[in-house]
Amino acid sequence: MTERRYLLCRPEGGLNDQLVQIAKCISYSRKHQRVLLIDTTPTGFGENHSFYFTPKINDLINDTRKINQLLPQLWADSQVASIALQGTDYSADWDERQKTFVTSDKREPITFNFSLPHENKLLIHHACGGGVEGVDGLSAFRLNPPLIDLISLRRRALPEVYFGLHIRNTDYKTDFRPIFERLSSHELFTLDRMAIYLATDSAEVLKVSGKYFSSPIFNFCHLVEVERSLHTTRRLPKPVVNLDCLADLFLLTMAKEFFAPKMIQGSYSGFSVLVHYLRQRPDQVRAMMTES
Amino acid sequence: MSLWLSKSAFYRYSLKLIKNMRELSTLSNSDLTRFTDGFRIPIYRIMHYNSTRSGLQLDWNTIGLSSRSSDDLISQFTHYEEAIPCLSNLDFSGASVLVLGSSVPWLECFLATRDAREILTVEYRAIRWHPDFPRTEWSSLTFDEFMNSAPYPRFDRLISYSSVEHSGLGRYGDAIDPEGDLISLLTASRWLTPDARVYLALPVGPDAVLFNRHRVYGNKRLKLIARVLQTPNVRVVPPVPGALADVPAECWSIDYAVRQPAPADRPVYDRQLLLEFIR
Repeated sequence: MTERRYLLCRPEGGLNDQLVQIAKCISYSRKHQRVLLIDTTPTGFGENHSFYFTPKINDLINDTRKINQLLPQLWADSQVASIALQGTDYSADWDERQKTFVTSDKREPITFNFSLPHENKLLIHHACGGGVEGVDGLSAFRLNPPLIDLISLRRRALPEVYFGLHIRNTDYKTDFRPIFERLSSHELFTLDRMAIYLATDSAEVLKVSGKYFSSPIFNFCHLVEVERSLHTTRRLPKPVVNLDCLADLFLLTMAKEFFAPKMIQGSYSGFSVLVHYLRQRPDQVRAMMTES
Repeated sequence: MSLWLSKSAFYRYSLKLIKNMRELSTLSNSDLTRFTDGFRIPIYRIMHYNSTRSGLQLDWNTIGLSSRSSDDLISQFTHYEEAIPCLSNLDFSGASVLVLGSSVPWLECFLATRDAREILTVEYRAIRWHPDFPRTEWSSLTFDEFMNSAPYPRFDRLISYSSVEHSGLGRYGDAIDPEGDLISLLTASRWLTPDARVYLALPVGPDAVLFNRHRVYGNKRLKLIARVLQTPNVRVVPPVPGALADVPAECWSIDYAVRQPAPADRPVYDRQLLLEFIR
């Protein structure tokens, strides 16, 4: 019998970044017959992934407690030399020069070449980075029943038909005032009683929105004035941030129309990209929102 | 010179002074529609302005309760005459207990008299207390600390006596949150062992929000709690035989409590039912 080999994925960044990294690891672990360990507790997500998601595929463990039972026997055979030498868990930092996550002590990148097979018993991929594959990362999971209920509760609080709008305005900024100006005169937004679900990380955006739109505006998130992204702020507890983020993803996906402007940096927010692609997969949304 | 404030001036002052306290009329569309489950359950204005008069820190060292206190003495601190008779039905010996919400330590002292091994109290306000429990280890976390802590599933009992129904209404300085009760319980459930028992004493009746007093739990909200805790069954813990003889046995059922009231043929008993959520 061949010995089992593992891939530890610790995805960083916002929700889309995390899911893109998970998708990348799912694909590699399938190709090279590795058991995938998704551990989000020591990352920006900050909580056990299994609190929210149940895997639909085999050989995927997303419960930090189970992963922590496995790892002590695996560290010594990992591809990151300093971690293997130490034989214990590591702490990671973002390295601006190398544009990757590195071990805090030896500044060694915590990832590997995905185009090659590797012999190590444990491969570690601790990274961020966006793309359009986030929706594939999501398709490997079902939402847990309490999360389905809390999202359904928020959905029921909205009118049957509503438009979704996403504005990111914390660390990444959007020039939202002219956008509100343009949208407010758009024929769709002037329809009688058409509600808007405004997903945003910025309390300022929500406050200002009322001056532009005559339609009722809804937002169900816990917002505080922050200059940092919601996945890095310490001003809100992780269970609240993660619930709000996942609920917003599905509320925007279920909206009749979805609008997301580009940010000042010239690109779309990763979260908007994720919503856009998830809206193209209504069967996946239905399956995720249904209990097994 | 004494300074007298009119009642309305006092209320206006309270609203400014107490963080997060809000009038019903100032709630946003988003909050209102969620409190009412999309206008499916009623919301009434019953304001309490001075519930945080004991300050932002609780000092329990001055309260005359200990693990040697009698049930009768403990009962005087409960506000609920059914509390001790109901809890006396349950076994806490050697248990590790998570207590959600506690402004006076009657429940902690009761649990110590029943030889609970460990108690963790989670409360919005910080607590100063050095209890003399011989066999019980006691500690506390503020609600913010609790929400920011990595859960360590070690508790085999969760008890919340008259607390969860206030979560998210701002009455105690907590942030307005229509799902405050559900999020608190969801977070607490992550601290429980797989076979843990959950006891919640809640105002039970047709679903409603009495803003900012408390929620009333009927079929809709109780089902949601059961789902959040992943406990498919709910039962009422009746009082020990002989206690509360004036309340007929049929009153101690959820069915009785949540049925729409028909005053002519159905007396309403104002009881805080102790519910067990069963896995």
